[in-house]
Amino acid sequence: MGIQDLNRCRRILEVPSEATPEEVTSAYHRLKRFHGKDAGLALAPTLEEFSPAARQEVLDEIEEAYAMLKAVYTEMPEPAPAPEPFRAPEPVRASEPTRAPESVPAPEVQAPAAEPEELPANASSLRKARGKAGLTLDQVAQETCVRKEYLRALEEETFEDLTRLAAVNIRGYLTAFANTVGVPTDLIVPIFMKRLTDWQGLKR
Amino acid sequence: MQIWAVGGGKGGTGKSLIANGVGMGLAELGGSVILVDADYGGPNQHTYCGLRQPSTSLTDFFERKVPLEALVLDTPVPGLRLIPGNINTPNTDAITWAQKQKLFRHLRQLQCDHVVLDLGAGSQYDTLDTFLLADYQIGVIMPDRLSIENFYLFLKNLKFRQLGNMLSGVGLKEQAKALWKDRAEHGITNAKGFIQHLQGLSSAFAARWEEEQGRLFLHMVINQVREYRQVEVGLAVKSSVQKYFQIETAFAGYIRHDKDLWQNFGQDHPALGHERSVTVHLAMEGILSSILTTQPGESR
Repeated sequence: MGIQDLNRCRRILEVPSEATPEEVTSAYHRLKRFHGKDAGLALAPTLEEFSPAARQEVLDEIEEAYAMLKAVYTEMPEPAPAPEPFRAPEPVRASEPTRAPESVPAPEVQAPAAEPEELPANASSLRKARGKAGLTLDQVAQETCVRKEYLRALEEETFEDLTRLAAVNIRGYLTAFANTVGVPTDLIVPIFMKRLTDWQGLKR
Repeated sequence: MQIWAVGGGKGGTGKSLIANGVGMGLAELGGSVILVDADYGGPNQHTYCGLRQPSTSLTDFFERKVPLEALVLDTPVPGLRLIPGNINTPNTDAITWAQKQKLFRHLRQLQCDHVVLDLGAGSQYDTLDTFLLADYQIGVIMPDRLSIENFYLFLKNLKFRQLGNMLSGVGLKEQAKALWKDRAEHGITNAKGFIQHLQGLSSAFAARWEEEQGRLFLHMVINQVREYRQVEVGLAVKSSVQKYFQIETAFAGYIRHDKDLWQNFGQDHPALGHERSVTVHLAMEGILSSILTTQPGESR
């Protein structure tokens, strides 16, 4: 990616050239807030300038610019990665009548086959750790005061069952779960939340 | 000499207040400043300045052809002078476009460092033209839907005016008119699409348009802020102006709502003096310093 592309991305994200990765990320979130679905006063839908198509174009531009800048900052080898890392398999829940026996990996938004092993922590490590600790979901539920359905959804990454919860709650439940079964939260929480937002992005 | 213009669509958003604050601030920085009240429909810079019965006004310029420099009045603020608006013109409508054009030409001859223009509400051609020709362009909004909607309309009109002014220059006026009329057939839905289409039609246009864009750099102020999330509204509008109207914009700052400000008017002192209105005065200092230090190209 040339310097011109970089500058274009920075212009779109409204950040100066010396912006740190954190500043870029917070600019990205701010712009999503300003121009996303819940944008407030600053959009005037009565004007044709703010047509749905124009708004979508603005949002796409923001996503694209962020993905490109992020790739540069994390020095990823490929120059222009797709904004969504987990595009591969469609959810397979329809063909899965009963809930996961031990060996079935989390069905939703599954990473490409090799990935779960490569990541330092993922949701299935919650189940493994729970197995090691010899705890049932009911016991964890009692310990954490989190409903069993949510714990199961966390363990299996069935994000759909979490849609009723706010991100802050999900984060809290996850932290409690991880602490109870002895998984380091600094690894699993950000990874899980990233997957969750990726999944939400895919769904939109 | 630098010309400053304050505009922004809706009436009552605080254009006069900002114009006055900018004038006072520039004078306090040591400049020689002339404030010109070009708000023909509602002149009140004299009241902001604490001049209760100005001896001359723009009426004299329009009706009696008194030279502009003879109309400049001193104010209580050292370095700040004022040409009051057309306070005594019985029929504001009678001021012709040619007269307004003449006023603008004559402004350039005034002897001072800065001319600050209070442009008044609306999107009349002379308001838009004056705004476009200014060296510093300031837009004022309030954190409410009405003011923001009108602000966007003002900017849209500004864009179209800019376009109209230059289309004849590149011999595209008739073609552009026809194109706009049949815009639906060409899949054009807004100014952005229209301009893109014209850029494809003529490289001469594309080059001139690029050049013209350099003339528009908006400094945005949000007035009467009562809580912090309204500052965010200002930032969001700034972002929208860039993204939906392709106008380079900088957020110059915000002014808190001052519930006691009204008491400062109608007396023999400037309403926004630092000893009278600390809130506004301090905010204006910040805004002015932001405008003076932000150049096009670093608006982010």
